Amino acid sequence: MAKDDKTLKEDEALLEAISPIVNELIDRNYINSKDKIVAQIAPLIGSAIRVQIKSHKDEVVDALYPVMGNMISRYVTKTFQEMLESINKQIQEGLSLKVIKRKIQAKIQGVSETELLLSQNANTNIRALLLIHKESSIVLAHAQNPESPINEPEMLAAMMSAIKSFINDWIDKNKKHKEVAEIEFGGNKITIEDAGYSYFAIITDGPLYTHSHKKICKVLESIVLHHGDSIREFNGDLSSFSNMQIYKKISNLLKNKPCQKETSKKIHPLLFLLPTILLFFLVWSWYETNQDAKLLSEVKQKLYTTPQLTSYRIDALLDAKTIELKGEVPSKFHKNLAESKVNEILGINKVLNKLMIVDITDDPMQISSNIAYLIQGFNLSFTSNISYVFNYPRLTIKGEVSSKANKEKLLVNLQNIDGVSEIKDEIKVVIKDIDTHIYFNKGSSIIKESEIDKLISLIPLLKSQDSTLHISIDGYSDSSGSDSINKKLAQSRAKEVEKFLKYRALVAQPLIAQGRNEHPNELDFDKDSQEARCAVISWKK
Amino acid sequence: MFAYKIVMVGDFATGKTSLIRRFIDNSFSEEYLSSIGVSISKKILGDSTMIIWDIEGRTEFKPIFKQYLSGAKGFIIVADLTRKGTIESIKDHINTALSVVSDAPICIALNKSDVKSDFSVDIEEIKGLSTNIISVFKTSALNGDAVEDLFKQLNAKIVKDLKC
Repeated sequence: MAKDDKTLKEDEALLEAISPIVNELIDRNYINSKDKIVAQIAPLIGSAIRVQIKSHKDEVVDALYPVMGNMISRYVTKTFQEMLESINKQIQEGLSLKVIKRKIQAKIQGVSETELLLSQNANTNIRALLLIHKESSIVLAHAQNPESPINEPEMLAAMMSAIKSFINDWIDKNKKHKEVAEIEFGGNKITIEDAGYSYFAIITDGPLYTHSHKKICKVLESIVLHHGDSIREFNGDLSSFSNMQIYKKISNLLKNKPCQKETSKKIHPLLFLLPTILLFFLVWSWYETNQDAKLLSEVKQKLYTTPQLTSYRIDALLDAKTIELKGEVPSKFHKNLAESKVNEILGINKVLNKLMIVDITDDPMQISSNIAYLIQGFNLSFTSNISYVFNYPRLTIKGEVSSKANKEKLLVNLQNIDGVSEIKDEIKVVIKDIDTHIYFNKGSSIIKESEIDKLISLIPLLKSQDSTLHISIDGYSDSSGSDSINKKLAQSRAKEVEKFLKYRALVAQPLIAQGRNEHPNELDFDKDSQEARCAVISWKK
Repeated sequence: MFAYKIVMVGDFATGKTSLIRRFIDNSFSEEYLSSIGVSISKKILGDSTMIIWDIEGRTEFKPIFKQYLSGAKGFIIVADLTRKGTIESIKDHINTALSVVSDAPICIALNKSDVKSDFSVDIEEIKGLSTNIISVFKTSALNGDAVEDLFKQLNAKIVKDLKC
């Protein structure tokens, strides 16, 4: 006992002596080998926490809550905020086609619109889809989101197959052939969808929603149905295994992207295109209408100003540069004339000649109209004042004309009007006086300048008269000088005027020129010797 | 274009992982070996993609997990030239591999050829263990001896079989 006490005392003394040294050594060691100590303690921390959780779980939860709670709260708030923004955006879209479609969808599916909106916003963000051969764990086909691609799909597939085998073998001890369905890591998830000789590994950011899962299952079904045999026979030779169709099917699943923020902002190009097309169409229509109106007016003008057609009522209609002529004309000549006249107009592509040839001789109005047109033209041409009374079928014409020829011409034309069967002619031919004195200088037979003017102004009158009339030109002289000279002078003066009328004025009537010894109009030759030196033009009585 | 799986089989600490490390393009962390008993690596050889399964070595207490052998187009059985027991195990490994894939070609890698051994090995005897054996190599993960040849010869055989 005494020894033990002694030993105890020695130990205590030793402890007291070396304690400060050991403490200092520890402090120094800590300062000099900080990294080494951290590396040594690090593995212990995990174990320590696990032990602590086992014995004092609540304490650990309380200690971590301020950190973890805030983190979870922030994450949840952010997720909800994003979802709310997306829903708000869709509501703000108002009464768009998309909204109407959603409303109809909600009615058909028997769910509320909000529910539908939530499901639309809860899109699955698929990172990659791998179709893996079960036995060899080789990737038969895969598609991935280019924004978040995965590395080494072949190795991932092999690793996944290993994990699957491992879990199935070590956990499913009862051999109930249960399969691993999901592997979750952080926010990502691998969903495994098993088929006979292959399985789908769907790698998603966040959860895989039911509607996406259903779609994937359908695609897998279709792949198994159409490519089941080649999958079963797959031996590692990828070139003999056609995976193009499978790839297309898988890629289509990836197209189901989460809410497309950008596309909703973009205005569909049709929204620009439609008003432009509409504006272009309006301008074009206005231009076409304007052009058509101009063209139609030109056609009507042409028909009206063609004398043979003036008195007929011809309608013209324009459509797509095609003129349709409607109305009634008395003959094929008129019908063809109308068509050819319209064809002369530039811009007309086609003429639909629907003019009807009708016997209009029995229409008093039309006959009267034709007579009126003819007489009006005659009066204008010959400055006459012919009037008419048409008492169907009898026509009476009255007035005066200056020549028989004109009268005949009028009568012939009137007789040519269809429907005029009887003409009562009360037209008088009134021959206009042409008496004109041409004066000469004493002893001269040369026509003076002033007298030439007189002759020129007489020409139109002579030309309007019948050519059957005879013009008489009588030459005179004064009483001074010898009779023989005077006689020659008178003759010469008549001949000079005759020459003028015959060769310069080219009058149609025969001319009779002669020298006279007697005084014209009983002039006193002695007293009015100046007036006696003349030639007188008149109608031969 | 070919893509297939091969499996490295052998006793514990024969150098399977080291051999792979000498040869491959890319791999997952070897930590998986200790967790689920397999590590995956990849090597591209011409138009072939070789997916190499490096499974945890057999020990007295832990047999090889047969599930991992399934679907393999070839095997590499690794033994340690310095440990007689690992060479004697080759026959067992061959039997295990062929029990899962009966027609797969096998390459034998007698590893650690850079270390002097106390005993001699009869290569022909090993070759005679199975008709599936296409080659026996003395390899060294340390200096890389015969490592490339080992994998390339197995690849050539597998591709040849696949083309038939």
